[in-house]
Amino acid sequence: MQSKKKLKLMNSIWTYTLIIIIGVILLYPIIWMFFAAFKENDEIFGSTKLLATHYSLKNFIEGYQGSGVLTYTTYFWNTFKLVVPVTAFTMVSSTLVAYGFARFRFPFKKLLFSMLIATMMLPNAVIIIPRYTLFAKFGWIDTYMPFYSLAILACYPFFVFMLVQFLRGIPRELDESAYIDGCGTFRTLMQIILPLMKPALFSAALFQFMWTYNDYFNSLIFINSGKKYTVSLALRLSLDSESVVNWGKIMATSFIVVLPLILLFFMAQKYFVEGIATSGLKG
Amino acid sequence: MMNSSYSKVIKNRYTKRDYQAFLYLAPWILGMVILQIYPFICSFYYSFTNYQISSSPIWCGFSNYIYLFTKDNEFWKSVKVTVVYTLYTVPGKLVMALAVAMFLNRNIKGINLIRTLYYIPSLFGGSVAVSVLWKALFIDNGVINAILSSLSLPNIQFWGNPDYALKTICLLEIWQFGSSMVMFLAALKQVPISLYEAASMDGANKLQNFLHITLPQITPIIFFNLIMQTIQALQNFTSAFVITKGGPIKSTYVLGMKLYKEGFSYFKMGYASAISWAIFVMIVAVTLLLFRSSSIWVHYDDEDSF
Amino acid sequence: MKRLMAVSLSACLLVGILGGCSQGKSETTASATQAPENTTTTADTAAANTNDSEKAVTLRFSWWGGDERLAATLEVIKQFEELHPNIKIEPEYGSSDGYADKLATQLASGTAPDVIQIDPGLMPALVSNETNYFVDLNKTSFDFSNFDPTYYQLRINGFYDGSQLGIPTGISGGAVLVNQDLADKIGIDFTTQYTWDDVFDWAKKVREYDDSMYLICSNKDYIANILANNYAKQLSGKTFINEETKKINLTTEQWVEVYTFVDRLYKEGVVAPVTYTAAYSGDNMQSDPNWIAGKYVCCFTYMSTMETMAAANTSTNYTAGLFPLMKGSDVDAWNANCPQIISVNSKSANVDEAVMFVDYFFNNDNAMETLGCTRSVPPTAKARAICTKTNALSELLSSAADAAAGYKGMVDDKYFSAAEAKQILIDEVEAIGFGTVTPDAAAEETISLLENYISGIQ
Repeated sequence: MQSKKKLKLMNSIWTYTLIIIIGVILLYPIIWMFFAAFKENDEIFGSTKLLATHYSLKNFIEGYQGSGVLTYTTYFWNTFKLVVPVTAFTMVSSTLVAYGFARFRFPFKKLLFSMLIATMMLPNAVIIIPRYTLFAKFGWIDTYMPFYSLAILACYPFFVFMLVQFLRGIPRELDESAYIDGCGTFRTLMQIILPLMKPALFSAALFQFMWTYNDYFNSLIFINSGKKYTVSLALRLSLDSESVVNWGKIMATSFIVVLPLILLFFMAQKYFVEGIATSGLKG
Repeated sequence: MMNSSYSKVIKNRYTKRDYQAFLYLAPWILGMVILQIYPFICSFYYSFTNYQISSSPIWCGFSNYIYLFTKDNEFWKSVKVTVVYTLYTVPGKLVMALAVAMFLNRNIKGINLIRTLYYIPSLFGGSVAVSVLWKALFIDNGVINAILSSLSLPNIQFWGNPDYALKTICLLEIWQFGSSMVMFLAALKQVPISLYEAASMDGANKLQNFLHITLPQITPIIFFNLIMQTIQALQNFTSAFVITKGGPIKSTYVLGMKLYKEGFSYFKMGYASAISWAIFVMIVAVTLLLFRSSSIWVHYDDEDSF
Repeated sequence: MKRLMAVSLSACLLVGILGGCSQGKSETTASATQAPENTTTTADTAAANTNDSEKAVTLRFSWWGGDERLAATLEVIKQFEELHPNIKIEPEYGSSDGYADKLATQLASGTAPDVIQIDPGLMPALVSNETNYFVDLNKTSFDFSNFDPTYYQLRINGFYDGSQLGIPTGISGGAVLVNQDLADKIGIDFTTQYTWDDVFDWAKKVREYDDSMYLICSNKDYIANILANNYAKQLSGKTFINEETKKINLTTEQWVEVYTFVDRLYKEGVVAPVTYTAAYSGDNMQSDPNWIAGKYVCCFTYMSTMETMAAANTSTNYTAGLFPLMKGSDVDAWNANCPQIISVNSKSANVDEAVMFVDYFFNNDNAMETLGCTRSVPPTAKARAICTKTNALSELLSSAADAAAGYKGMVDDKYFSAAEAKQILIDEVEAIGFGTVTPDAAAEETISLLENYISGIQ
């Protein structure tokens, strides 16, 4: 009994040691970046020391205040207004489309699915001009509508494909028995499939949230006025080769910007990691 | 004649319920028609034109493609760089992500915090701060070389040596393995516990469990990650663009970056479109191969075919 | 029955989605069409100048730049809006990162801002007779009296075939930033005219003084665009490409000589090895730890970036030096250019107001004082005088401007001033540095690539 307990303890010590070693290697650059937030430029680029010579919150505070025009409060609020609807719309539309692909046999299915995948394969750089022209015709430039419309119309094939893959891991017998019980397809989706897809849905939502939050290129192209800028645009505002860039401040702001994502991930985790294990429906 | 008999077959094959599929697909079909097809056709047309932003497109037949394939030395070099980049990053990221997901798929104290910490590198995404940081870590007199020196290992010119620059960029990509890891974690949670219980009654060990239960069960997600990472890797250029600008001597000049430069530095949109359709064909070919192979190794519970 | 319900439910859902979509659309189109509503036809404005003050106009002005430039520009906008309460200027600012992509997209779709800051290097690719993206300011009320025609009427400053398509925001051009303390210690004098031969001799001296030091801090981009570019022009006495005949002005032998010069720069340690500087390509030399540690005697850079370079290492004194000349050449080549130009979009619905704003931006005393040197050394003598008075023009910058003014200069021709042509030279310089190509092979390749580039121009 005693030795078994000891073995278990040893085992968990080993596990934690390993976790810490891997963690330090993985996070070393981030730790370096954190300390860089307290450094002057010459310290960041000219020295290999990890620790800063002096510590103050100046870079964090000034970073949050932005370029003197608008503070990050505005940028965060804009980002929220962009990212939350985009994520919600993407989840709804992608679930419907993925369900359509994964659970039905219909004419031209292969062709349509190939088209779905194919839309991811043409590099964005050449699509952007015609697409921009299109949105300009709709009068959607300098609004968040380009992003909303793409989300509503399931034009993020990544998520459709991802959800299809997860759906295909859920046995069809569940649907069949629901049909026998008299459920329609929509009720089957809502009551049987959706609860089982929770982990997948949460991870998809997390990705969409994160990627839209971090996206620079599309935000840059479609958003014009400074007062509508999101954090990813704001972060690069002070970058310019012709003026002195305070990198410490940029590192500090990067940390402020990534903080909500870290919190979100931490809190949302139990949904996408634990979902199925507790419902225990599968198999 | 052919047509009517064909439609008859279709009618017999599909039930009424099956046609409901189009209701579910409706948002995407609409999106496809309104937002996707037009840009696609446009860029395809541009690829046959001489289109500089300063003037409207002028039809030039296949000359963009001919120049690209026969005269542009940079193109083939870029293809090579892109292939190498893809071959490093895709397997690297997948193996890393799966290994870490397996490792973190356990119930120990503080696991939520640990997973979050491991995910942080990916949360920064393509942030400029990360690019600056990565560059600074690997410069000749940077931290990594200082560590190498302290271990009395020879220093490496990560950015100056064409053999290393691409690898160092790949390392940055692999370091941001978090998204794949999250998907693997979600997939691992979907594996029915009953399968392991049955296996343990048969006396299977951990490795056997992994090879015979875990791996086959998560193949749909491995396949998904493989496809997506490949598509993404064949187009990606942000880190190379920000950190090395394609150098030294074009050793990190991936196709995406060549496309970007032709399009937005030289404003040769016609030529850039031709490059992007070349990339498109490349990706289609690779993806088709992967899809073909999937019937052999990907295990689905629904026994459907796509 | 249940199935029917489900179908109608999902149908409702779809309708809801689409309804939401079109609602959003009508909402946003309303706000987006606001600007065009305010427009008036050119006939209107020409007829009734007096009505100008009544008419509400919104102009969009886009630029890139750091914090200081942002603050100063917004302040100028505010001043202008106070003077013209009917005109509102919507600022569209950002970083230089992606600015060109966005501008190209906007120009191609006809949605570019009314007033645009442009990188002069991009300008050649954007100008053609067909599109006429930019207003010829000669034909507007813009007041050129503060400007020196020999300066603004240069192609690099927006002068294309007789049309003034933009106004230079400042004087930049090459600058030699000298670490004076180190130069004194080693005994190198950049203040009296010297030749390229002196450069190689000095480099030897520097290497003997301390073999971790180099004479010139430079990467492939700067070697190509500043050192090799001017060396080649001094050598041939001409620009790279003849604008009339579209022929390359340099002979194969001359190209070989240019690349041999580049080869010597690397081999004799005038500049740091190409493997070392690879990490600091583009405008990124200020983050080179060796520059920060003061291991270079000088840096051949631009006036617009020299202060950034100086700020990276504050532990030494800097001066602006002279440029090297070639023995026996009567062309000095070193010239001023501008960091950005400001243009008016010809598709703007309010060209007159846009020109009024640009006029205020460049010619108003208050604006000059507010803008200071946030876009390099100001383009007009008047603004420079104001900046000197307010101490906005640093001693370093003004001495660099003085140094540059001592040369007659030779501006790149319209073909070679495009980014695509310059990249050819940059790539060859790098290949020479790595030793993957000989000067002879580089010369041949350059000629074939340049010829191909010229033939691709419409």
